[in-house]
Amino acid sequence: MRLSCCALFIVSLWTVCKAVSSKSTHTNNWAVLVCSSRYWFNYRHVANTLSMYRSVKRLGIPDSNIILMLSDDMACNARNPRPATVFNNENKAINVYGDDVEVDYRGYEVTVENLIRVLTGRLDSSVPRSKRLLTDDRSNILIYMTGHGGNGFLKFQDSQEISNAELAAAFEQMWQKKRYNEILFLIDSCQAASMFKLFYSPNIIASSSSRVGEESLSHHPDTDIGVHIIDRWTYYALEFLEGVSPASQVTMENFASALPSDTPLLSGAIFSLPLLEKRMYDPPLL
Amino acid sequence: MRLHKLPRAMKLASYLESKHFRTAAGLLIKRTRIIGFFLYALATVGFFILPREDISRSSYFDENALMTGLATRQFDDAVTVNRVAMALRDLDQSEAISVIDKELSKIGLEVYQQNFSALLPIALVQQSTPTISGRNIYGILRAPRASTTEALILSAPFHTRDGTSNVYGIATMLSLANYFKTKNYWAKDLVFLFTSEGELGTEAWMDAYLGQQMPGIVASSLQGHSGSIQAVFNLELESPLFDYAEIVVGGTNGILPNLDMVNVVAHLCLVEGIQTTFHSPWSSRPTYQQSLMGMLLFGAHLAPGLPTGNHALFLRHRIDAVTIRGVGKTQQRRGTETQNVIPLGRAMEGIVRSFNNLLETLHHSLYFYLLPSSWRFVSIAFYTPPFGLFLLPLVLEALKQWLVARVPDILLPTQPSSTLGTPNKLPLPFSRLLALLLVSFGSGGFLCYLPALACTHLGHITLTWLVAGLLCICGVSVLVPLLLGFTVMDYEWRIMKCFKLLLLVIMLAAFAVLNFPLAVCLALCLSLPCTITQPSGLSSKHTHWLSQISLLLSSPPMWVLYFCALYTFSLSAPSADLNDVIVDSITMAMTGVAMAYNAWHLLGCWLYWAMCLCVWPLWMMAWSLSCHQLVCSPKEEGCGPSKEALQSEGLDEGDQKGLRHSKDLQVFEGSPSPTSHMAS
Repeated sequence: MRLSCCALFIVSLWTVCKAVSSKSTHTNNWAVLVCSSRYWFNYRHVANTLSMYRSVKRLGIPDSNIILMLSDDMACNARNPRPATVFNNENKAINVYGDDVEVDYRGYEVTVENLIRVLTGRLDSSVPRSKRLLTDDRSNILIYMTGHGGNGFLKFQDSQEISNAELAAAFEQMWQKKRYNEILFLIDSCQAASMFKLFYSPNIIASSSSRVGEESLSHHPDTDIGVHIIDRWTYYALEFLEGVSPASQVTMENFASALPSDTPLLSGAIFSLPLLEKRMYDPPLL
Repeated sequence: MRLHKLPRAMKLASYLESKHFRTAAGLLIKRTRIIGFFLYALATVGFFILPREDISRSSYFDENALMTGLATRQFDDAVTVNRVAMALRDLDQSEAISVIDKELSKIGLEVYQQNFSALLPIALVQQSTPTISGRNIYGILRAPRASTTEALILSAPFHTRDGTSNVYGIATMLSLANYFKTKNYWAKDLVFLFTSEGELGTEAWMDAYLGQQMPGIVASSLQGHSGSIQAVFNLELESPLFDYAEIVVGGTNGILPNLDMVNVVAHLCLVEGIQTTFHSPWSSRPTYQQSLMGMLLFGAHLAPGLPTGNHALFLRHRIDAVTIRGVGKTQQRRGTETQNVIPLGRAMEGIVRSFNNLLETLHHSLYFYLLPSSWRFVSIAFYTPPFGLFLLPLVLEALKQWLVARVPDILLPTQPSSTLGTPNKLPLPFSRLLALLLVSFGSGGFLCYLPALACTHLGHITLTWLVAGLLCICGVSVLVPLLLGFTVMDYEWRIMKCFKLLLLVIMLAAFAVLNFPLAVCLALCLSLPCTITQPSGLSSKHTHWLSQISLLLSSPPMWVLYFCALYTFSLSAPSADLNDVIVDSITMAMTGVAMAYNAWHLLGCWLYWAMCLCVWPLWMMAWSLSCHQLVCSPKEEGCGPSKEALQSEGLDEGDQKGLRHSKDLQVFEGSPSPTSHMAS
């Protein structure tokens, strides 16, 4: 796999760090895509996750390197007027629940415990390889999470919560066990910026759809299916990704500037700069 | 000994003998009426500010899963509506049922029928026979890809509440059934129910569905069944052209559906251009007076607790239900017959689709509220405090009577009690209290259960016999204390009055939770009589006769008559003959009593039971108390409890002096300079 096909994951630092970051130090790419809600009225979260899955696969990460966690109760829901489909746009141009979607953790398997176990690698020996994150110290990982959240937590399937402290601790465990080279952490939920507030491990870039105290809103409803079909941040992120191909040389800076400002996003998308030299500074870019 | 190490009784006694307590008690006893009046004024102001824009809150959707109005609504089948309406016009019930049966089968639903008959305990004047029989018909649209665990009921009765034929309501439901059958997104079964004989048919169907059995209704069991009922929507259209859609929410016994359900209906009607109303035609941006009127009418419809529509019966089982009624006829006929019906049909489509989205029963929004208009509500947190203020004077009056009955203990601080630190025990007149309870609740019991006894022996009884019988029992209950003329001591009647007032407060508080508008009505009717009654001997004979007559005029039967008179008067033309109005109101009162009784036996309303066994006994207690005669004036010597009574309580001679009423009682009856007596 060409290194440049993962140009998306190349860190773009400001003037001081540019020299350090222009060389990429990873050899493989992984993705962990988590949709933490279930039930019909959270259709858009499943559409978000499946759209990211589709983009990530199209850009070259194979199913063996993707962990997809979904409640998977949309396509065959009795309320779905288009059975066996999940759309991410009112124009219904793409059925993101196509023929080649491999869901690794589905239904009630999407729990906080399973996510932490996947990230830290502490899985029972009976768990199959397709459900493991088999990363090493040269892996760049994209972690995308979406669902309902609040200040410092993300709600899992209406019965559990994962806190930002837990996530930060999981990432530190990964660093200590040399399970990643760099992590790109994307989160689309309400008050999403609170989720990366406590990160203290190096080499993590985080991007959220809203600041603490703000809500992330959906982009548009589908009046035929009768649900909100995609969230705003993910919609604009996908717009950017649709223009990216394995050959393009886009950088994180491009990604950051592609996400629009408070209007039309209606919330503040924040980027945290990577913590390469153990410096922690977090100016909001937008 | 440090004060905080004393046992509680001793601490209480030391407080009761303290100067602070004496001042407070003196203030209370002297100024009860004024404090009470002030509290009543505050409560009234509290009630009247409730409908204001800054106090009542704007309605909002609490359950996000509803996603109301998100899906487009495409129902547009005027052809079917007209065709079915034409077919059903001027048919009698059995022919109409066969037409509906054919239609439902043609659509492809499972069709079932149910026979029922009901024996009315009290035959109303208009009927010829006391037995009413009828037939219900219903069709089930099974959810295409879900198991039959939940159901939504879409109901249209054969006749609207006013007795007119509900042809267009049935036609709309049938064409909606035809339209819904083509859709594949139903997660719950839809049951299209067509009932006859008003609430009786719905009760018969509901009882058979839920496995209950009301005595008096005999119904065949249902052959077709679905899952647990999530919501019920009832549609009544007198004519295809209507000005407003009235959303009727009140249930039996004052139970209300979840506010989210009301909001869904109101929102979808608004979006489809239909104006909604709750008992009054002002709903979009009403003024304060309109909001107040709306709130009062809402309360007035809820207070009796009798069913206001077919939906009301389901609410008794905590199933959210609502009736949508087309009211008002446009003066000019413009456009097509179905120009109002189709938007309403689309609103129904949106409503049912919203409820289809739900995964759990509604549990977020309020169940206790008052609705001044379609889009504002007053929650229980706001309307309970004024009611509490209204009850406070009763508690204060009870406290005052208790204190006055125990005045000597308060007045003589130098008199130590026989056992150190415990307050003197006053012998409670248990026998008198028991007699009071027995007479009051006994007569209430007779009022409540004698008609049933008569029914079992005679089969059924007519309205006139019922009313005559009830009035007889009332008359006898009123005469008995008057003729017996019990004598009573001063402290005894005060304790009886205190007991009665506390019972009243408990009863009103209990009703406030069950049916708030009813509690307010009862509080208005019973507070004053219970507060100001006293036995003869305390005031002049003239005043006492006057108070007794006013007590008779404010008895529960008279209040029923007054409310009916008010209602008839407000509805009658200004030029109507006064005699006619009076006759009308009496007839209405009589019919109301019969309806309440029938509703108790057939539909599960407890209004009749509550009036007989809660309201009437309390009034009887006040009446009995006013019929007692004071055996001696408190100012006389030797007016305390008898020696035997004292010895039975274990008190000795020394205490007797303390317990005897002294002329210091005058202090609390309004004579000047109380402080000189209490400075010791």
